[in-house]
Amino acid sequence: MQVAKKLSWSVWMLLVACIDPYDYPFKEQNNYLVVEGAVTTEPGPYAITLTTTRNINNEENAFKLREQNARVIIATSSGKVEKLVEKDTSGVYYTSASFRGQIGESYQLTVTLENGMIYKSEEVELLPMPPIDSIGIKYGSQKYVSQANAIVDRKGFYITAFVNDPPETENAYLVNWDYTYKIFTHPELANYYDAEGCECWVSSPKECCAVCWVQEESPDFAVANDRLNNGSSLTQYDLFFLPVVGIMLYEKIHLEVSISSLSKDAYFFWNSVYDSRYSQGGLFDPTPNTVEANVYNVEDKEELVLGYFYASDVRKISRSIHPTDFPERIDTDTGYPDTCLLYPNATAEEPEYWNE
Amino acid sequence: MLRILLLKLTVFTFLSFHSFGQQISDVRIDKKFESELLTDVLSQIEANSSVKFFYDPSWLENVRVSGEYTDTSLRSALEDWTANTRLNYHFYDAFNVVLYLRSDLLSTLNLAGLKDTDVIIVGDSTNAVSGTAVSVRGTIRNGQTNEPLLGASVYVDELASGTVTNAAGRFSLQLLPGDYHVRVSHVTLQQEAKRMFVFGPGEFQLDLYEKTIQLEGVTIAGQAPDINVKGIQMGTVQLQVEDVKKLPAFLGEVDIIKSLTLLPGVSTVGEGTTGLNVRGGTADQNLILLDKAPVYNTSHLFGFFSIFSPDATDDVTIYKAGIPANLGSRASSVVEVKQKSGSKEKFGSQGGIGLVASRVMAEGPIKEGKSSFIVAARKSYVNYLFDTFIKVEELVGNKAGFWDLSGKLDFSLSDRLSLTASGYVSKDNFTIANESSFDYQNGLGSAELGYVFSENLLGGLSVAYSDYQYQLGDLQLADPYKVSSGVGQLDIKADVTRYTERHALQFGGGTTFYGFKPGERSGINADTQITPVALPEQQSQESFLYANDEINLNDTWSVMAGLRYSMYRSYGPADVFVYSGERPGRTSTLTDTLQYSGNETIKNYSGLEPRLSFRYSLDDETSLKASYNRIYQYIHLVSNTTAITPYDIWMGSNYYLMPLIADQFSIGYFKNYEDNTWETSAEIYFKDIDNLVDYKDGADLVLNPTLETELIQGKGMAYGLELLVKRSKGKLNGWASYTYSRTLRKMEGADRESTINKGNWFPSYYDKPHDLTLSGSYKVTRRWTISSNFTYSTGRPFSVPENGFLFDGVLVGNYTERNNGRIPDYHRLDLAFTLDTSLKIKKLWESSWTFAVYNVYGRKNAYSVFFKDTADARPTAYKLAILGAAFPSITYNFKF
Repeated sequence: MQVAKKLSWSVWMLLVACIDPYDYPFKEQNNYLVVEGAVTTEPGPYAITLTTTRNINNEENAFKLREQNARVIIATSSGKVEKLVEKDTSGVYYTSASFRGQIGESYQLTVTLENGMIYKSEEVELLPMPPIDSIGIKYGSQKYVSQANAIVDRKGFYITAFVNDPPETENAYLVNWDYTYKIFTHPELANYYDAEGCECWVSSPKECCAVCWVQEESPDFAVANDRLNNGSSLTQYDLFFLPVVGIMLYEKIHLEVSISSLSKDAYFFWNSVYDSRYSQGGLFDPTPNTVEANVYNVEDKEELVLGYFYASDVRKISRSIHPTDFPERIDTDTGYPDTCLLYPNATAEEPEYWNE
Repeated sequence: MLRILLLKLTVFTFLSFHSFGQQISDVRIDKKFESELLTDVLSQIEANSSVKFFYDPSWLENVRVSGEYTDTSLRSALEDWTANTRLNYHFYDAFNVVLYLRSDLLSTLNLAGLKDTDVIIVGDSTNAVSGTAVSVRGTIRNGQTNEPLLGASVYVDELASGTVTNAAGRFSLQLLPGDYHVRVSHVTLQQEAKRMFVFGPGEFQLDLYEKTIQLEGVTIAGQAPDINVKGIQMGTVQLQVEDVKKLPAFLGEVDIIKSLTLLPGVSTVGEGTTGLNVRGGTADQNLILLDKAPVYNTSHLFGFFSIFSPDATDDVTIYKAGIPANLGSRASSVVEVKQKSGSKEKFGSQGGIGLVASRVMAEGPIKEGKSSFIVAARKSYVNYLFDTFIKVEELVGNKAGFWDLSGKLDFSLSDRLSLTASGYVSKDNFTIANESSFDYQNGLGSAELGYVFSENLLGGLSVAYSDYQYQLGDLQLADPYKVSSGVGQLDIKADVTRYTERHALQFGGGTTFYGFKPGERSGINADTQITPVALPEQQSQESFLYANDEINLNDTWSVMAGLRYSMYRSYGPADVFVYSGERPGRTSTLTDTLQYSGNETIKNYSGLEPRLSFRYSLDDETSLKASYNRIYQYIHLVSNTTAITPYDIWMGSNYYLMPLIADQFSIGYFKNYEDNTWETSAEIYFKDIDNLVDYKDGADLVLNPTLETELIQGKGMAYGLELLVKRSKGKLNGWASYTYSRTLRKMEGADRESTINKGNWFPSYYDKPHDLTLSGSYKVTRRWTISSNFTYSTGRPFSVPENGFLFDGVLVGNYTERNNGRIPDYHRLDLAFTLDTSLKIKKLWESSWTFAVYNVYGRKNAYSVFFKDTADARPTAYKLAILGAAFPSITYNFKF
């Protein structure tokens, strides 16, 4: 079996390949204005962040990162002009709390930098988000490359959304989600190590808290469009994969999905951000590229500006995932001998939506 | 009486050793004869020189000689004197002339110690022509397979020149009647040396057999040993599969296509990728033909192995420049892979057992001497090994496998009519459990009818079919789906070739019907909710007419001039979108849809493609060559990835997409040393390409009905210098080649989205300026051969972000320029040891073992470099190496 052993090793190498850090000699060049912000139908205030590009190898980052003291305004198609106010010279500018996006209205951002340069965005229209009919879940597993470059299988749920999107228009969406689950720990078993006294573990039961709610805001996002589905009134979109471990199913997982409408151009931009985050640089990945912002220097349209200013209608929907949805036997007890409040993002107060 | 002759001959042979004085060539006749007896005349010559004549006096009874001769050679005089007699003469050596009755030559020669099998007699010896050159034609075949041999050299020692056989194995020589020594050789077969007596016009057939004991090492030259200097072709190399088999191969799988990358001017973007880049061309610019059928995907398992079974393949020829007018339709090269014909004489089989796959081939006559078959099959067992031996949890459910099956039938329907039919099917499957799957299938078939109208007029009619389908599955979804794409074509082609003394004129025409399936999405699961979506299929037709003449003006000059006219039309049914603005763009809006009904022409393109090559011989071992060719390419591979991937889409020129036009100029200097033991060459080329297809930043190509909005067409330019030193004889042989080349493109559109790198020239993603290859083999003993490759090349370009920015917490790279950086340089050493187990000439079972190590020093050559955001918020560059270790392998080959 010598031959087979050699082969097994070869095939293993063949499939896994190897990824090593590589000290690439970057040439640092210019820095460019980066605009980030949106007007939505969610309650304000909305933020517009003005920064500059950051250098890749330069840890000191000699360039300016925040554009402070700029004058920022958003003009609406109904003739309103909203002046934004910078908070603590952070480069982040806020609208008033009463300013709120309206479906069908268009918005144009104007930025006057401290040095007098004026930038304007394209007029962006706030497109309606069609109603979300429901959220679907499907148990499955997903491959994932760990930090140690090992391929790991994670169990969880594929999340889909059924959207009543109108067949006559092209629709594109940005998807964000957060989820809450209840955990169970053992504060009565809490103990501590008495290093100064007996140099042993000393039992110190706590009354609070055995039950907590962990609220996770996913840093992940997804984009979707109906290019391949257009024509049907109820469209199923594959949104994302939610990895699940046993302790999350002590009672249930409360999942809230928020879907925002995007224009065709905004989708194109968000798709490039998605590629930046999720592409592996592998065999089949498209070569990377930059999508320019929809913001331009009024005096020099050739100047490269990055980021995006867009408008979205946002709809939210939630659903629960129960232990019965998970087909495998799992241990839902954390076994943790202390208060559950020590878990990140944990609270002992039941969220108001928990029993909705 | 013949006994006396024999006795005389023997005695004389001994005597002549000691005689000095005038020999045959020195004899000059200055005399007027008036009806003198020939016997007397001959005696006079004998008396005045050292020349002796041998004959039976009864033959010369009453033969008389008349006429006035001034400074006439003995040959001319004898021509005269024997002209109207039953006699003929033969200069046995420098001093001795044998006169004989024409019908008795063979017995006379037998007496002189020559065997029938050593002699070729051309023409009718009883009716010999004299004085004027006659045409000697013939066919050279492979004796094992009865296949005609292309590129066999027929060399006449006395004239110090010769010729080479064409694709039908035929050759033609103009010779004065007389006695010659000819040597017939072919690179893979045993040379035959014959005595040839030419009496008049005629032809002969000669079979060559495999070299049994003498193992040649790696030779890249096909054809005659001096074809590189004497032939008009430049930038053309033929590789024999027997030689490729001795090269070190990845996991022991002999790879005909990969071996081409060892040649100057041929490269790939990286390991494990399919597709060749020839002289700055993209992978879709190579026409790869298996017999007559074009192949769209030449590899198994992405690009690790080639789809051609080495047992069923004869040779592969690549044309990088000076492409003759009968070939075309792809801009950069033509690669002809020739399937073997089965033996018409006996049944045989061969195969091999390797680490990844095993293969078997069987061949034999259908009707002995008239028709034959060959079938070859190959199957990988990676899956079986996954399941049985590997048992690594991460790999459970992963699948990788392929098989292929090929066959060829060969019929000699009559002396003039031959028919060959060949077919090929293959299937690949690669699945990463719960993530993705990639399957593809090749189906090829061709049939070729050959007809010999006359000795120098050949006709050929061929039909070929190719179908390539691929499916990409996205399994990482609640509702998994696959996207299927494909391309197919049907070719019909007719050629006529006419050989005359100085010309090889070929003309013909053909047509190709293409069908493109740009993409179709369907659910995989039975309960799928996915409504199938299919982009409409596209149809087009490409036709051509051509004439090509290869002219040997004289010994120093030869010219090949050709002209090809190609026409293309894309036709309905189809809907063509019309956009606002000059060119379709992302911001332009659909203004109209043009509907074309079935067979209605949407767009026509056509063009003239001149081809011209010159050869000028400075001396017997040195020549200068130059060539120019223009080629129109009407079909394109649309891709936004570095390597050929299942996301790529084949499409024809259409309403928006124009055909690619490539012009190539090249000149070369070729010199051989030491009787063609050493070959050297230097070639320079310049290539200019119009309408090169590129994609816009962020292009979404998959299932995009408005693909024209994502594509741009611009200019391409490539130039380079290729140096080669090769030794093809002896125990140590191989070659060293160095290439300096650049390949650049310029995409300057009307707006920003269709302009790349500000409209400046930028390197193509396969631009690798320096490329050095050393490939050699050394025959240690009769049984052991060591071979080795070393390659070095500059790292290919990739896009480096100028800087980055945070958006919604995600670090996004700012790629201001395309291909502005380079991955690390590539180098690799491979070694192989081949052990032949038997040296007997006649053996029932031949076998060999090959032990090979790929990437001996385990360099982690970069396939790609990319940037990822890391936990500490500082982006890091990563290097992805696909074959970052040494890969040993062992292969057993057999033949019986």
